[in-house]
Amino acid sequence: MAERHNAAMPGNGEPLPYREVTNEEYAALAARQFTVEEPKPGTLILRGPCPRCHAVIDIPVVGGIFRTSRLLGGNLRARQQADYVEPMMCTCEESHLGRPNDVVGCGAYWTLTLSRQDR
Amino acid sequence: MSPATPPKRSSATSTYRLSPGPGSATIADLRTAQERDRMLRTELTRVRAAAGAWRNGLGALLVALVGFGLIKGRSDVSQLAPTWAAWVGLLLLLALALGALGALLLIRAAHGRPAVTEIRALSSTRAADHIEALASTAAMRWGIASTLGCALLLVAAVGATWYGPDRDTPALQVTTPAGTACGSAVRLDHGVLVLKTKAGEVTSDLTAASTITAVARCP
Repeated sequence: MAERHNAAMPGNGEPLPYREVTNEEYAALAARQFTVEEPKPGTLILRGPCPRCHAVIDIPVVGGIFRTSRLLGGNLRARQQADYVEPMMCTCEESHLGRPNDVVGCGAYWTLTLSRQDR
Repeated sequence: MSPATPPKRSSATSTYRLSPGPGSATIADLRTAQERDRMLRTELTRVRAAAGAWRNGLGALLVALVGFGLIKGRSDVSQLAPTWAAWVGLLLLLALALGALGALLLIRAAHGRPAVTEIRALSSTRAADHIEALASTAAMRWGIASTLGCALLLVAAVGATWYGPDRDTPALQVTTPAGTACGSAVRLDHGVLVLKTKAGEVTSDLTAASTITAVARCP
């Protein structure tokens, strides 16, 4: 279930339970703390601490992905633009109580705008 | 919300500035991020499986083609006219090269590159897997094109071998009062020469022949 509340910071040593939450502060924290690496053109790695559970995560942001159909062709064209908004979520492998089997992370999500500035 | 951040670490040609997205994130954003994450995590496995399937399918196609070539028709290139034989040889050489290239590319796509990666280069396994998936996809596409090109060249070579003109054989042209006959000698029996012509075997009485000429090919 999705909900909004303030960032639940760990402090008592107990792992945070899985909860699908967002907060405007998440995006601001990620924008400040994440670094960007481009190992190959079209492939970015955003790395930094999760704004909720603080596990260091890396999130690949890619221009295209293998599929046996061309469903994602529109996204490939969208990535040509200088600015685009990327939905993000925590991708940590830490244990979070109540997390469904087929997902990763602590449940925190946010969006970031990536602005490319060509030299 | 805090203002836009200074530029982050970047590649040699581009820098990227991160700033909070417009408005608040929604549950749809989370589902999109989850789906992308799921697809990225399974991408390399899916590429490998697809490449393996293409490898097996195209291998079966080539086996079927070889079987098809064995059905009927001329199978000896030396029976072809020299120019045609040379072209068939070239087609077979190109087919062999393309077939080998296609097989190697498909195997590379299905099983990866036999190489050691510097541990320092592994900054993100998922990003590295994605880059490998892209490289494998490219290898698979080129492998498919090469293998299909090989099949096409094989068909052309078999067709040229079947339907190309015969190699010319030296012949005898005998002129007698009854007319002129040209063909390859079959036998000579008591002054009667039997020639194999396009119309069948023809006998010529050599005692009555005015000319006997060796020719490279019959007119």
